[in-house]
Amino acid sequence: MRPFEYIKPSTVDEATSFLSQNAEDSLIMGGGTAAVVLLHLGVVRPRYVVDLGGIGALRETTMKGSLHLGALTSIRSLERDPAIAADYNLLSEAASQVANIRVRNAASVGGAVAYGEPQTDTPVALTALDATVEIAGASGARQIPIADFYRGPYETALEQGELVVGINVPKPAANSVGCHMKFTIGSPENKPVANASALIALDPSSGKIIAARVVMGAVGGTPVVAASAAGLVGETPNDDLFADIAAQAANETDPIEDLRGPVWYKRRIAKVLVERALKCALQKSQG
Amino acid sequence: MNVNVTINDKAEQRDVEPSVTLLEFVRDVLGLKGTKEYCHSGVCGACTVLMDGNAISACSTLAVQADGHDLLTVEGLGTPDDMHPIQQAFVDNFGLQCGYCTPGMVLLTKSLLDENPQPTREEIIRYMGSNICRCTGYAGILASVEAVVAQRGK
Amino acid sequence: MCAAEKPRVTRLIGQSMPTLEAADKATGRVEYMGDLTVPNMTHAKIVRSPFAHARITSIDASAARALPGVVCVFTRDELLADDDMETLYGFVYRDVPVVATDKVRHEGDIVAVVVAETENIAEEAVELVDVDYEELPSVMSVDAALEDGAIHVHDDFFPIAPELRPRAGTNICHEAQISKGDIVQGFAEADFIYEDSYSAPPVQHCALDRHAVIVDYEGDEITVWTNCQSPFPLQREIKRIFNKDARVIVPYVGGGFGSKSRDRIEVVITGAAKLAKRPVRYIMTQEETFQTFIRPAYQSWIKTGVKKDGTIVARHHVFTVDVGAYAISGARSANNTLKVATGPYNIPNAVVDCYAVYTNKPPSAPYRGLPTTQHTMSYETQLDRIAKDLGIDRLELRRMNLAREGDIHLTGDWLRNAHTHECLDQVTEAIGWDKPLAPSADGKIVRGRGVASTIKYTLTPPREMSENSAEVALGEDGIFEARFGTVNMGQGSDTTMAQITGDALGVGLDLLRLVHSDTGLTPVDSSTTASRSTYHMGNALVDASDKLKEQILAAAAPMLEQSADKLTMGDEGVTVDGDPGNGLSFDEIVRRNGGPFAAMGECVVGGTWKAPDGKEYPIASTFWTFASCAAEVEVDTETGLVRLVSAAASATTGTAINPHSIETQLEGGVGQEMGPTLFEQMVWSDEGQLMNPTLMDYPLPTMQTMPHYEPRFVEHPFDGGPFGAKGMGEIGAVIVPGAVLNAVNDATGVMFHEVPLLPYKVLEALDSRAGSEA
Repeated sequence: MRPFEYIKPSTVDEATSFLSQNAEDSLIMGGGTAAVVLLHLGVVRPRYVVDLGGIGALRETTMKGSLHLGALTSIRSLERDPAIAADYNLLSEAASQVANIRVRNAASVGGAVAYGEPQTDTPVALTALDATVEIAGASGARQIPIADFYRGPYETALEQGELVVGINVPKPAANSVGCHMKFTIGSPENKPVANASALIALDPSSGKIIAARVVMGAVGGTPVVAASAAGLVGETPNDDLFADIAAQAANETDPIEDLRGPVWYKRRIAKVLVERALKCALQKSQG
Repeated sequence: MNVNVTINDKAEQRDVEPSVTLLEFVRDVLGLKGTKEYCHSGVCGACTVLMDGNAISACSTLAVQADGHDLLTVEGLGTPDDMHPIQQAFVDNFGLQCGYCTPGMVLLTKSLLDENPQPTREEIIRYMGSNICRCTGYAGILASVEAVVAQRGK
Repeated sequence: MCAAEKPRVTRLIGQSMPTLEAADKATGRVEYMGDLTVPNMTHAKIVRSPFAHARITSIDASAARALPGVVCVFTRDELLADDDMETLYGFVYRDVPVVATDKVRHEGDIVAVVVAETENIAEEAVELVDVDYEELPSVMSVDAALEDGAIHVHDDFFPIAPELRPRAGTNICHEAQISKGDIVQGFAEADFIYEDSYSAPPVQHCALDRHAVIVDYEGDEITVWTNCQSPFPLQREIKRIFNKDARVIVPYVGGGFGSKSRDRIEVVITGAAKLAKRPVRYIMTQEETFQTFIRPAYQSWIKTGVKKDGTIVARHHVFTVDVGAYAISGARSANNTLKVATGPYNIPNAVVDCYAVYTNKPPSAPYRGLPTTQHTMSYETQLDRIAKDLGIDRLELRRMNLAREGDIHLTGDWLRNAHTHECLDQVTEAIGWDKPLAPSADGKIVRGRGVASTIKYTLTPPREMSENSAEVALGEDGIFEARFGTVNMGQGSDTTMAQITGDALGVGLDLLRLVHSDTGLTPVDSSTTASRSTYHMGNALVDASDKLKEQILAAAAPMLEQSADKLTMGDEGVTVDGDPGNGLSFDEIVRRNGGPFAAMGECVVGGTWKAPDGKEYPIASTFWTFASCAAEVEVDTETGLVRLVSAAASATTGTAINPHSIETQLEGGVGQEMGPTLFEQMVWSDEGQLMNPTLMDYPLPTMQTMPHYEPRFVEHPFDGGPFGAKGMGEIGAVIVPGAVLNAVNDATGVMFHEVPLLPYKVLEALDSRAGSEA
């Protein structure tokens, strides 16, 4: 690996003030699972590696009305925290499907979001949950809805020198249930052909859907929020409805052909996953 | 950079370049060669070590990230004459052939059983699916983990 | 023939025992190549071609040489300036430049070696080597390489092995034919004729222990530490190229599967070490292993003639193997499988044509039975098509055509130990062939079963080229030392050899010490490939043990005042029959003898075999291994995902030396081949760049894709094998794709003619079937 200078700030301010001068020459590292591989391969050759690991504040997780995740919260803790699993089940389900256990132990939620990879499971679920990305920079802090945060493959709304410091996840509406589905070739640890998160809220008296959100990953440059999910609202859930909405949602995707399949196939898989995620969510709601 | 770790219950302090990976630190700096390298991209698990009890890929971690942490490598588990029960189970149940993935598999088993002492077969498969073996087809590895679970369940 | 079968006491053979080194491996104490260091060692990195085919116009390594910490840079200039260094190597096909001289012929081809004080410096220096290329058109497939006017990967051919036949002015580096009966007559007699084409793309072995080498050129002989599967041919090749004695030492190897069966880096690193005048270590990255040896692309066309009742009367099988840029071993492995291309069936009239073709892909290597695996996939799936078409049960069609003991094979061999029907019966019973399949809950998951049977050869050179020897010695400490060249790469060879040697001598494992794969310490052996070691090295060890025993008993006889035939060897030493208290310990015998004992043994193969009918028959393969697989699959008709649910495998092993070890070899073979059957493949761009060089894009089987295994074996002692044993290390893999494709056909009604069964291809086929039915 090429030599670099190692910077380990202990506060966010320290980090942002360093980055305000050196952002262009810096690689920001959270858990390091992606960063160290990129450094090893020589894909990036920064002068500085800024390790956020020393910033204790980024490890704080609170649940007061909404869920606040410090950027360094590990993917594995999203998977294992019983409180998150209870109230933000979709998130823990998606987290449990990320790569392998070693990656989940080391990788951070902030890193996963900031990296901007279009196929990672957690950002897809966070988008379905309408999370907000908390950003800090030398010029101050800002918050941005995660759906607006993604601009393209590996492109985000982060300005030079800015950091993802946390993720805020509003508590899903009462009677909401979600499900995350992922389809891979070979073992589930592999990169997905596509993945999908569905979150629906049901009116307990009528049984009708009162809110719905569907997001698909790996089928566009960013997580794709399905506008067609609006068609679920006000309807009584049934298989035909789900199939119809899933087909519409798949048409909203913009996948590329790669080793995991041609465009038509990725759309088909997106449809199947959305349909399965909706059915799975409904099944969960019926307990 | 100064790196202080407790590794296999022993305190170690070394001065290393920040670009040294934890894998290089363990193998080349500390001379603990039981931890192996193959893919160097966090996929195969040959370099699995436990940091504060959690399985991680030493290849995709910098040594400086381990500063102040507790590490366990295969050398800290048992010796050929006094094997850890997990290692004994891998021997008895033909859980290894070439042995190259074995240190990682053994440590992954330890982290699984520390988290979940009585996993179901499905839970074992899901967890152990994280690491790659090219020889056994995994049957012997599954049998080895299940043997430890059965032994502890008694 | 090898050592004659005698009545013997077997204490160790037949025992399922973990490998002798298992505890060392489980505790991480075994040293593989990457763990070895030598004093004063330097580190090498390789400058590799970014192009599939290019002419090197200039190499300027001055900036690299000037970098502090760089010891030397080895390029064509150093190679060509050194009169004591041959430029081409290869002991099967001499077509590989030690380092690229005029052209590069595949992405990753070796252009220069940088030697430095540290790996990091070497890595930095690699980027400072300035190479100018003139890119040339490339041929990235056999079809492209065979087109009229295709560029030629090599201008000349240099076959070494006598059986190799290149065709001048083409990319065909070897063509051959084998035949039996009269194929014209055979097809004329057929009621039905079937023709099909099949293909399989390249994959990589992904042995986790990457290729690595340390070379010390200084001293009286060159010392090479490497994880190569063929230390002895490599030693000779290094000696020839550098005109200096060499010793090759192979430590424990972390998986080979054929990827290390031939040398590729040892020679060039030796050149670099000569220049460096210090020991040089080189360890490949995983990505570089993908550029070094791969399993080649395969294509076949099969025409089969059958009678109405299902009897196969004629077969024409044509296949091509893409050997890549250098025919280091690809041409010969293609040629070897001519012998088995028609399968384990008794076909009276057959012709098989083989073409090994150069392309601009990385060189090909054997891979656990390749391309017998692909032949089996081809003829077994066609057989299911024939069964369906003729309305004959799939198993019945096989049973009526499977060869039996004494049938005359395609090669003219009188088939021995051909328990083909037993294998088939075992796997169908193990998988519950007659039990109903689990019903599909919602019609979206469909299930099916399939079988495949095969025949596999082992490397069988002409008698005069047979090289399989071993030495057994008794030292002053009273311990027996078995010295043999077999490389321990995880297959359990040390344990197998210890079981054989211990029983041959009549002593337990405590009295045995093993020395493996070191050309300085162990007698010559051709290679650890082709499932050959149990048979060949086992026999050599039996032969050596017998001779040693004779020596020891002869020496002990006067000491005990008995004739040698009244003495027995055992754990206590040599004792007088009927008087167990009267004897001598081994160390005492050595002491009184005035020195240790040692005996060489060998296993000579080839020649002819006298059958029960009194006639002599050829031996195209020292032994044949027969096997069957039954597979059960699930197909998700919404996604096209195929899951191998269950796999039963059975092989004719002869005497089972270590029964559970045999089962785990079968599981490992099935588990490994499942990858290339369902999802593994290497993909290149049109320009010849590999698109999936890392595991991030090259998926491998994990425990999550593991089927339920039912390993079996058919144990009839094989006359001539050590204690009746045969080899079986590769056979588990060979039978997988055929069985899986047949199972998918059973589940979906779609017969695939290629692997891997990528979900999108499956879904496409299901769609088109639905379309044609609608």
